[in-house]
Amino acid sequence: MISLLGRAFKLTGGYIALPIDAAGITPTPVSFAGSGGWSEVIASTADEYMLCGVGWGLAVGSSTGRESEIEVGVGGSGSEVTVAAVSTSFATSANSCENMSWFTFPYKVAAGSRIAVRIKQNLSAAARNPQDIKVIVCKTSELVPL
Amino acid sequence: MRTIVGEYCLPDKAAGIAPSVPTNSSYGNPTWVELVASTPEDLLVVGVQFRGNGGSVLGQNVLCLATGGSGSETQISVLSIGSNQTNGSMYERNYTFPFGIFVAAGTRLSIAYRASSTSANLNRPTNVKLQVVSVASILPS
Repeated sequence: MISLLGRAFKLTGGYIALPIDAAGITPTPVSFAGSGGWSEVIASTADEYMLCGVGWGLAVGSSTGRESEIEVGVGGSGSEVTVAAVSTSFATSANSCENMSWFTFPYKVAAGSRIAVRIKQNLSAAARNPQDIKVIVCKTSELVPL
Repeated sequence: MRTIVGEYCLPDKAAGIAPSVPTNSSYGNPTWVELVASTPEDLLVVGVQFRGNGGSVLGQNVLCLATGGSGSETQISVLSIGSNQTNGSMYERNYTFPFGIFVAAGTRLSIAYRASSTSANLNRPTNVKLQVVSVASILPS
């Protein structure tokens, strides 16, 4: 079923990393039970997009293991709604490298939307967290049936 | 959907491609390196594979795909994004895209980085290969 959906379309354009040609976003983490903590990725999307994935790095710091979720939200400042979340977990400093998660089911984001990201995690110490977050999108207008 | 031939890699049965050292530290001016001179058939690029180069300079990178002849490449897609903060920390990656990127037969494909550093030793992906599938081999079920 998963492959059927994803492979029913082809992309005549390509994928776009937001923010475009700029450094990734590093929000200040909040606890799993916390609220807020959103950092803007883009103030207004130029087209209707499919949210297809997230990429990040891990900061160097404490060697204490940690589990985090990176959330992608859509909406104005203070009223963001989570539309996707990915999990990342590490144990040692040797894990401080890049990673990505490509979604099986992309999420449609209307043109003119504000996109933000935040980090939720199981420890409060701000030492080694996900950082340099970017989101991957494609234009829905460039998706055509196979 | 299914394929009657199966997915394969580009370059096909050959080593992956090492992109050039970035020449701009603000994610601009990518230096394209040919991945394949001419695609053998209409393809969908459905994934990418690479490993880390073991570099000691830390920073962010965006691996990009372009079409077009040498000197006139046009970026068509981002393939991966990342940030490395520990020397040589990066290892093998294999990503599958939700939608295959259509590339017509006879197309020259190139790859390049957009990065936060111009260091030759930037810790970044290398030995890049694409996972592709023949459009003609795809059947409804």
